Amino acid sequence: MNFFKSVKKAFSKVGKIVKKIAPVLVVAAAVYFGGAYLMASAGTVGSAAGASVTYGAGGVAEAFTKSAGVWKSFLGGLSSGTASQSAVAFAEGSFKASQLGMSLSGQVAAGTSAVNFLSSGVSTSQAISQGVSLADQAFKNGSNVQSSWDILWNGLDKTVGSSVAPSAPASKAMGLMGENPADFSVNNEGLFGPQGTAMADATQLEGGQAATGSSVAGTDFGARSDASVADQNGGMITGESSLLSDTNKNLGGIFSNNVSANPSPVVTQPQVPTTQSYMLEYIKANADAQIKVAELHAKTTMEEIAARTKADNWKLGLTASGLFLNAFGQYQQARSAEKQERNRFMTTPALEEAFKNAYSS
Amino acid sequence: MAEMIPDMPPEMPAEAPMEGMINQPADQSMALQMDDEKAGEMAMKMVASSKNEMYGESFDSFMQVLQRSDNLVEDLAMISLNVLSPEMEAASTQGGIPFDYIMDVSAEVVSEAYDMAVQTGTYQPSNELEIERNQNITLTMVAGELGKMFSGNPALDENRVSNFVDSVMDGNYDNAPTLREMQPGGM
Repeated sequence: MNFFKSVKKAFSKVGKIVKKIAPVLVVAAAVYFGGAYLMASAGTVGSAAGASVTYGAGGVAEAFTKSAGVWKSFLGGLSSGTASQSAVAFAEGSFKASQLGMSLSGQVAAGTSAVNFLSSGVSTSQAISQGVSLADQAFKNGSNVQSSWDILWNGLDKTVGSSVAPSAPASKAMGLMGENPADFSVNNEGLFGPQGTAMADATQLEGGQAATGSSVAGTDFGARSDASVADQNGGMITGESSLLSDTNKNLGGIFSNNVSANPSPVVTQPQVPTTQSYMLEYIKANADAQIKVAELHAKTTMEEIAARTKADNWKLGLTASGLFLNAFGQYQQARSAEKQERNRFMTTPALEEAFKNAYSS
Repeated sequence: MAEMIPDMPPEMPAEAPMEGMINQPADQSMALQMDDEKAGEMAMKMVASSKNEMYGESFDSFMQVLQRSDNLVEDLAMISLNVLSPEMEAASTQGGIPFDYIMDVSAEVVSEAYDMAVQTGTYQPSNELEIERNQNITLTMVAGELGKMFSGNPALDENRVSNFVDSVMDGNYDNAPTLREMQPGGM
């Protein structure tokens, strides 16, 4: 079984505008399928492969299997990202590697390490470039595929090992994923997980231009939760950033201006600045700062609520979609069965005989 | 009173049925016994039916989704999954899901979804590279979701999945032409 066989040529040319996805990328995606499958099944069933995986010091443990490395990487990436984010990292990593002319195993290595880098807290685009770079070096320096992978794992150990290597036992991490779906979007929330960061990343790669073009570049996620990721990805949410920086600037200004040059009437009663006046000044300035902070906090909270509402709407939509799929699946089954029945009738010997008779006469 | 209690049934030989299960090679599970030709036919049927669905009954609702889309890459992944899921369910009742072709079918459906978006003008890519990258991201998202979806499916053996991943990572698929080689004028 390989999850990828070239389906017969029957539908290769149907006047498509869009070029078909290259086979190498389909195989790379198939590896992602395998990783997601193993990761999810390990969470519920328990994985013999996963249980013994370590990025232990000194390199790859004897019991280490490559497939376990894949899902482990996804797990590492997902601990700080989301399902969508890791899919973007893997897809872009493998794509960039393929453009560099790397072999298929090298592409998979690039995608895997890109997902791995997500766990180090960098942005998706940074994770992709670092992952591709590391895989490229490993596959250039390795004498064969195996040694290249060894170099790669060791490199990952050194760079993101502390966050990727399971500090807790694998089973515990898996348990968390299964037991506390609020923390992880993978198991229960499906593709769309926590919408904020994941969606933003899917379109905001390299400033939202290269990956998705003009039609979706104007995506407005409007969620405060996007800010950290978006900022790392090239400052998509510049308004948020400037708001924060301006506020900080003002906070600084309150202290310095009020104290030195422009004391308020209440505070300026003593002509000569005393410790008490400084204290009063400080308290007032601090109060102003606190008000500013409170205002900012309120604004952030409002935005977070809006983002959560949006996320909840998505979840509701997905739930409805799931119900629909369920119902539709049954309908589809019935329809397929009906079609088959009709086809069977069409090829009945009696019918063929009738046709023959009709044509012969 | 005690006389009315029927005798306990004789103990079943516990080893007999288990033996068959254990000795059965992993690759011989029911779903994987599909012969290649049948699996191929099933895959083709799934693709054809998906396209039929995409341009048929669901066309209007998909257009609405795409026109209102904030994130086309993800929405196309959702559309693809929407089309694929019932096909998978239908296939599972008619001889089994053709796991060998699952990614190829997914790639065809994703590619068709992009084609639909481009042809209807809901997506206007700025260049070919962009659409290739986006298709790849969408396909990977679909792959991830399908992987999770099948994680509870006993028909898909875990060892075989990991063997496949190991095989790719070991370089057994490295003779596939790279993107550069596939491009016109490539080596």
